[in-house]
Amino acid sequence: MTSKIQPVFIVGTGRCGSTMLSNMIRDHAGILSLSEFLVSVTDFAGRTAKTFPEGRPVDAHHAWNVLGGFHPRQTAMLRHGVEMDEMLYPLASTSRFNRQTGVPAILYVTLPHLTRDHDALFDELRDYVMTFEPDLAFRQYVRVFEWLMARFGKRAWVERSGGSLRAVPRLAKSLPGARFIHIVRDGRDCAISMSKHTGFRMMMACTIMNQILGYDPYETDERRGVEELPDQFYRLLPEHFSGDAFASLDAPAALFGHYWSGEMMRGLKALADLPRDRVLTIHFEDILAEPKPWLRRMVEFIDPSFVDEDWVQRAAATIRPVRSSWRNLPVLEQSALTDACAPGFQVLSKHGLEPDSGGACPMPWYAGVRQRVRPAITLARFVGVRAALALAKARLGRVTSASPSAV
Amino acid sequence: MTANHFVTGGTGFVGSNLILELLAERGTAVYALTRRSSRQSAEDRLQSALRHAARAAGYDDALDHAIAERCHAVEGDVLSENCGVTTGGLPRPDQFWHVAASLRYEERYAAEIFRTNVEGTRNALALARSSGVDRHFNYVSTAYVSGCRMGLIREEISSGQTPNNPYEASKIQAEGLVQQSLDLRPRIFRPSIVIGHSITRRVSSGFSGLYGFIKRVLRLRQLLDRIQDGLASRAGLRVIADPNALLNIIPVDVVARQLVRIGRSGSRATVFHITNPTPPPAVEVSRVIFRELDLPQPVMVSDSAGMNWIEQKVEEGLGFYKSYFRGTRVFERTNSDWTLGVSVPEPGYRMDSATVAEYVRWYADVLRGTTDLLPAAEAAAA
Ligand SMILES: NC(=O)c1ccc[n+]([C@@H]2O[C@H](COP(=O)([O-])OP(=O)(O)OC[C@H]3O[C@@H](n4cnc5c(N)ncnc54)[C@H](OP(=O)(O)O)[C@@H]3O)[C@@H](O)[C@H]2O)c1
Repeated sequence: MTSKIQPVFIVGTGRCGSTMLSNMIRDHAGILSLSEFLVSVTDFAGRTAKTFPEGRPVDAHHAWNVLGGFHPRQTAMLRHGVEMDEMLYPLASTSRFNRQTGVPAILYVTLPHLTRDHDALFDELRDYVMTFEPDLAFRQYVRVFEWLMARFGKRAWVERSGGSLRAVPRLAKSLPGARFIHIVRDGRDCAISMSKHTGFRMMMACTIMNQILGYDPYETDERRGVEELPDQFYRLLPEHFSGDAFASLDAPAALFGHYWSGEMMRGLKALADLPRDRVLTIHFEDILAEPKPWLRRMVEFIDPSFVDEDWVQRAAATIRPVRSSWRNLPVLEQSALTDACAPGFQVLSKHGLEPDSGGACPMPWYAGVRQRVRPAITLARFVGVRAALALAKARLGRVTSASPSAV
Repeated sequence: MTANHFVTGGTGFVGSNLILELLAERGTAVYALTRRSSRQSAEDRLQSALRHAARAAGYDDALDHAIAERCHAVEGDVLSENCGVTTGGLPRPDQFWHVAASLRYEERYAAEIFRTNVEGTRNALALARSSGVDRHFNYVSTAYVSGCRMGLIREEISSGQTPNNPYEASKIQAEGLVQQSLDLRPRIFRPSIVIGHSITRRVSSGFSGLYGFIKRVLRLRQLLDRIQDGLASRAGLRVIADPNALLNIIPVDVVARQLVRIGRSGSRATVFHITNPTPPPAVEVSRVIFRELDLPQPVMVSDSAGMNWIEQKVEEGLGFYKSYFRGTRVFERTNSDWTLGVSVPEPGYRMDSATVAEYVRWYADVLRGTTDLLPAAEAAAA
């Protein structure tokens, strides 16, 4: 069975609040919610090349290795008790998979998100995947999505993975017609949350290790140049990995603030290349402030036939107030974080994407003026007057004023 | 005049250039303690390292014949007793050059560093003794046995200095062992930071010292850009540096030439600084490095007050290399200059910005060729 409804991905930077949407969509009668599929099968993006071999067909065994395999980063984290909070597979002593065996990628979150009977579903899925003839990777995964869609009696599927804004160019290229719901959240809150989240900490640690070594130590036994690794990364090599080493990794919010800005710059560029009707931008803060119109707008974007007032009511009722955490930071840390996020805010402003005026809503009359006085407005709008003052004060207090700022 | 030399560390940066310099004298034969690898015999490793070094030093294949004919690998390891060598078949060496060492400096490798540099030196001394070395036991130490000491550093065995890291500590201990071996008429050579060949600017192996620093800076740049496109060029960095610090860099061929000339001399001195009498300011060298790596110039500050996270990480990341930019040392060269005679000034000492830029550029190109940014993992997840 093939869906007439074009695929939809909910994308965003890490910790933009999109997990909540997967949970809401799961409860919708017509839409299959695929949660953390891309995160799991790419092993925190470390296995992207293996998951999506460029231009090469993927056979049944390869596809099953991606979906049902035990991936090295996830396995190391599981063994040492630092798996992501989002992990749904029950690690009871009676479970089929446990910390020692590892948990197959698709059983990490995606299948348990859909059913309690995930182990049986896993076996059924394997039997299905093993019938695949070689085909391009994404077509194989879409087959899986459509099979699951039929299995759960739904009419469309929506995939959502934390931090998948980065994947937009690949998704758009592999699935012509794919549409995107971009969830935007204040970068400072995203950054603080990423800095505490095991998945993003692992991703960051691996990015740094790979960059220093020039290869991925989780994918090869090669160990050339490990002397170059600072101690905190050396201790995260698969052979040295431990819960303590992972807990002591120094990856503060400011680092993730820079990362958030980078993701936003790159992501908005990719989304801007797509036809406007294929992108819906929603601010997380707007959903919190006024959930119903935004949830309605979201399902309408997926397909107008999905608008269902009961669902909107139910979904809106699940929203809990979320405290914005960056305002609780000491002033200097606030300003460092704001500094790190400034390029991201700036690019959002450039695209006219600001809270209360999300991309789907008409641009306010002052948007043009705002473009011209962008830098000041950006700071005022995102940073707030108090933080702007703190930032200015912190700048003045520096040893030297010659250091160009990231703004 | 023929002489036999026994050399350890001949496959390394300094050792290979020392051997090339020894070969310049007709009839010299070199026996080099060499480890085998899983894929290559000791002899093959030595020969290929020396040919490589000869190319980097600008020799064409004319020297290859001398290398093949007059250089012989002696399989062994300084970690083994007597370096794992039975001296039976070996000709008695006139000079013994102990150059092999571990150039690691990180705490986590401390045990290995001490084993190689201290026990290794003990084993080398034993081998020199059992081989009946005729004239001198020449030990290549480092000018940085001075540890944290600043100001004038004398050509003498000193004690009480605080080492900055296990490497310096191990070299201080090894000097102690060598100095006590009076029966071997020891000489201790202390090069400063050894860089590429003074004419070709090239290095054949062992990218430590200044090269390690350049690589760190480049990696950092790549890492910042990986985290956020263009971050490295936008984020000007503050780096702690003493404006008066001098970076004592000296070309490898100058080092090798001075070692060999002092080695042949009748000097009765023990310690020789093989250092640059006119070193460039460290800040100037770093300026050149940042420029050659297309990075915005760092702002030099005197302390860490107000540094942001990235800057603090850069400070930490520079680790060992931080000491290059702190404090001023002047290395005495009385013994060396007296022995060498200072008639003609050494052109290799000249380290103006343009010259330094040539050394840096050569290595930056090598690095760019081999360590380009990994393709951005554009995948999901992350
Ligand atoms: N480079 C500098 O800037 C500098 C400055 C001052 C002083 N120094 C001193 O100069 C000497 C040589 O340094 P370098 O720059 O030439 O270092 P290098 O390029 O790393 O060479 C080290 C040499 O030591 C050998 N070696 C290491 N462990 C050994 C072992 N267990 N048994 C036998 N051989 C072993 C290596 O052999 P393999 O090829 O088998 O690994 C290699 O030939 C060292 O004593 C160092 O302290 C160097």
